[in-house]
Amino acid sequence: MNDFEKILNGLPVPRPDADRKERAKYHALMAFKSQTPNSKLQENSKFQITNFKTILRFCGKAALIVSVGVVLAFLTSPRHTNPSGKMLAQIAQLFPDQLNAVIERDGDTRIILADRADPSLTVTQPLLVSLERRGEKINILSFSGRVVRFNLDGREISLETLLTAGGHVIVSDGDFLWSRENSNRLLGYNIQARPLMVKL
Amino acid sequence: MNQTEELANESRLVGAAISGDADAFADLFNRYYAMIHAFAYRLTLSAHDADDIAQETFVSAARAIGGFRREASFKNWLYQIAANRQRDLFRQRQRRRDFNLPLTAGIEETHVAGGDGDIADFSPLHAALAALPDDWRHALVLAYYENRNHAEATQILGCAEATVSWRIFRAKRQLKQRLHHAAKRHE
Repeated sequence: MNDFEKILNGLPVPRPDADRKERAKYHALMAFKSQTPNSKLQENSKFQITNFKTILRFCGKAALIVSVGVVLAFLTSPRHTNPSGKMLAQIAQLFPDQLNAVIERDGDTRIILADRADPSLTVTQPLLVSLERRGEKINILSFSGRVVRFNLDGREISLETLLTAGGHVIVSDGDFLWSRENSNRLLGYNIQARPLMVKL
Repeated sequence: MNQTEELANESRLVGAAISGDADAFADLFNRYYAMIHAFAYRLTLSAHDADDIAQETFVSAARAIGGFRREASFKNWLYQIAANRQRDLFRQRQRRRDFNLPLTAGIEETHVAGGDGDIADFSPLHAALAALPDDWRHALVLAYYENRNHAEATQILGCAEATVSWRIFRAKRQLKQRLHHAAKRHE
C-alpha cells in the first residue's frame, strides 16, 4: 500500500443502519417477487444473441491480433525512434530534475527548464504531442504528468499530458480534453500524441 | 472459503436468482449490501444518501436480474447500478433546486464504523474528497477504494478508459494539493 492509499484509508465509512438495511431488503425482495419469470421465448432469443455475440467476439479478437502485430511492427521499426526523443533524453541527462519540456516550432527549439532541481520534474515516460494546422507544426516533447505552458496564437496554454495504463496519451488544457477517442482540436490545431521509445 | 469457491458460490446464487429463487437473491443482498452502502457513501459522502442509493440499487437489481448476463461480474453490475442511482438522485435534486449548496458546505455527521457513538467527520480528507467534482470522485473511489481496474471503472461509469484515467489523475493531484494546504494551515 503506498502513501496515497494510506491517506485515503483514513476516510471513516459509516456502518449501515440495521433498520434501513431491513427496509431495503424488504423492498428489494418485493421487487424481485413481482418480476415475471423468464419465458422460454426469451431464453431462445438469448441463445441466438449469444451465438451472434460469439461470432462478433471471434472477429473482434482476430482483428485485434492483426492490429497488435501491425502496431508492434511499427513500434519496433527504426523509423519510430524519434531524433527529438534522443535530444530530450540528452537534455534530461544534462539537467537532472530540471527539464520540463522541449518545444520545436518553425525550426526553433525552446527548452523549458526549472531554475533548480525539483523532485516533481523527475523524468517519467517521455511523450510527444504534435499540434498541426495548415502546414504549421509544433512539437512538444515532455513527460507524462507534466504541465507545459506556452503561447499559442496569443493565448496562454497550459497543456497537461498523461500516459494511461493502456499506453495511450491524454492531453488537456483546462476544460479541453484530447484522447484517442476524443480527437478534439485545440484552437484549430489537430493534435497527435504518443509515447516516445527513448532510453533515459 | 477461497476466491475460486467464493466465485463459484456467487455464480450459483446468481444463476438461482435469475431462475427466480428469492432465497438466492436474499443471500446476494446479504453478501453485497454493506459493500454497496460503503461505495454509495464514498460517492456521496452522506450516510442518508448512501442508505437511499443502496436500497434503490438492490430494488433495481431485483427488477433487472432476469436480463443479467451470467458471464459478467455481478459485483461490477451492482457498482454500475449504484453509480447510476447516485446520478439520478443528484439530478432529481438539481431539478427540484434543493441541492444548490456544494458538498463542502454539507459535511454531515456520520456514524463511524467501529465507533461507539456518533462522530462528526470534519477531516481534511473528507473535505478534500467532497470538493472534488463528482465524476472525478467516482473514478477515484472505484480505483482506490473498490480496487476496480481502469477497464472495469470504464464499464461501470460508461465512459472512455482515457477519460477514467484522466479523472483519476486529476482527482489525485487535486486531493494531494488540498491535503498539503490543509497540513500547512494546521502547522
